[in-house]
Amino acid sequence: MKHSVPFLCFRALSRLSAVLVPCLVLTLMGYLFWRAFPVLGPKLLFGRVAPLDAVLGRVPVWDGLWPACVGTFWLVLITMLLAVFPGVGCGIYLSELASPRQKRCLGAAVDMLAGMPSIVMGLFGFMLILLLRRTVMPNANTGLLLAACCLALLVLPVLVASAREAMAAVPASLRLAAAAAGFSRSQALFHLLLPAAARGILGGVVLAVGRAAEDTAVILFTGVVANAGLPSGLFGKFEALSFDIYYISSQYQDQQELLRGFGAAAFLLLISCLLLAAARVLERGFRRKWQGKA
Amino acid sequence: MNSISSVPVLCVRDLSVSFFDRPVLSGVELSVPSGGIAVLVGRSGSGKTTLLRAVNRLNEEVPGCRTEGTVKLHLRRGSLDVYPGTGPDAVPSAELRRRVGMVFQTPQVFPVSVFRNIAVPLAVALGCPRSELDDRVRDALMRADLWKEVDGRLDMAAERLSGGQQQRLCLARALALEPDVLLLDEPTASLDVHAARRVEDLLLSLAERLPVIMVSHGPAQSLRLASFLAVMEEGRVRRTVSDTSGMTEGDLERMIDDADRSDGAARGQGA
Repeated sequence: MKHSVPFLCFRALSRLSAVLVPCLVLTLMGYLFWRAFPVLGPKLLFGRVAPLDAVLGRVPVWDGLWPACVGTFWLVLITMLLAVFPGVGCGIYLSELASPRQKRCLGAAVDMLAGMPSIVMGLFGFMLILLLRRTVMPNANTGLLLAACCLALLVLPVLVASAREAMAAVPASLRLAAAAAGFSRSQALFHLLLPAAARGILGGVVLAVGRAAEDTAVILFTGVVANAGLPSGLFGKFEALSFDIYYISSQYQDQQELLRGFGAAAFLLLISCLLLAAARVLERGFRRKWQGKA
Repeated sequence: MNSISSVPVLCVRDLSVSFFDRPVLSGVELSVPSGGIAVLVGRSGSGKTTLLRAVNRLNEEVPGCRTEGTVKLHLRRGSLDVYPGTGPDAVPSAELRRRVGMVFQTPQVFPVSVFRNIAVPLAVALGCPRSELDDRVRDALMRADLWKEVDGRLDMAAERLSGGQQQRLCLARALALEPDVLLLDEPTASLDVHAARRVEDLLLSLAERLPVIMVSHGPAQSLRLASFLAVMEEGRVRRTVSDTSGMTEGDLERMIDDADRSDGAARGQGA
């Protein structure tokens, strides 16, 4: 069969694009790990401190990435604790229960939030602290909780959109079959539609975790510092991997320090991959329990 | 051939259903005698499915639906007012749908295991205690003639069953809730001949204990199963047949065509 020239061009271009993406990913990761490889090891994490002492917090680590790892972990955890419930809940409400008018208003608000640059969220948090200092809390200061709150605001639209889309993707026939089987609307939602949409919702949560782990602009104004050690509490200053990478790459003094930046980047990537794998395992286990063996 | 008692199982008076002001049923009058299988036949778009879904108020799950008229069910555990939804015998929709089982054209298994397909509606909609679930699931699967095929594989995903098995699973799910009447919307349309025959035999044996109202588009199948026939056209019931013995497929085809033509003539006169 003879194809027209535009069709052939289109096919060639789409093939090229399909090859381009994995090539870019491989180049990026390859370069990162190639540069980071010499420094990857316990010394990168703990510096001159014995690993056990560092992990237990007995000796502070000043020349390793350990405090930043712990900071990022707490930051992401608190962010997700704050954001998952309202985000997913709002998405489900938008898809299942909202009136058309509510859908328009809420949808516009979520879109606006999604379009907001992360630096604005950081500034907002900073201004909030200034306001608090001048009014009810003279001792208020930037810290882990404030950064997590601002990050939660940042990842909220991701969660809302993914939950909404996942619910909307549940086929109408399943809703009809559930109604015909005598389920009330909320029973159908809880026992059939939510589990059916769980995969999409979980996908959104993983995306949000990634976003929270990598964002630097928000935490820049809200409590991150280069040498805080382990976070002292919810209101204490903290270190974070993303900020470490940013800080090192803009302030490095020698080649060794730059390599530490590459190490931190490789580490962040590794943590993201681990999170992704954990989400996969979680999802598979859930699916087996809920849907039966494949 | 069937004992037809005087009280009809389904009584429809002046029923009109529209979606977004587009009428689908207009002024339907129908009395379905109890006993045996009642079959609604007609060309596609004649309103068979909408009439069937009016019996368990399922049309209301579709946006833009408006229903007027009277639909009443006379079942072994008392009468139910379906429409209007107010009155002494009216029940909430969820309860109505538990008592009026339904199976769809394409098998609508839930995306869960075979066991949970039946157990979840039992536990959630009926509030069946956990200790009884195993027995009731097995009982339902036996009644739907599926037990032998899935015994020992109850934790398998239901979507892995064949089409015919899935449809029988849907039937088992409906039967598990102990309905007083069963609605079937072309239940064999998506099955091959062999699987369809198997479901038909099952329906005939079920109909001995339970009133069954079904939609069918095949004249041959309608004649095999029906003890009562209602021919629909353009959103109305044009004709009913209480005795199908001696009828041939040709007779039924002609009847459907006649309904078609008389409708066209009526519209011609109206114009």
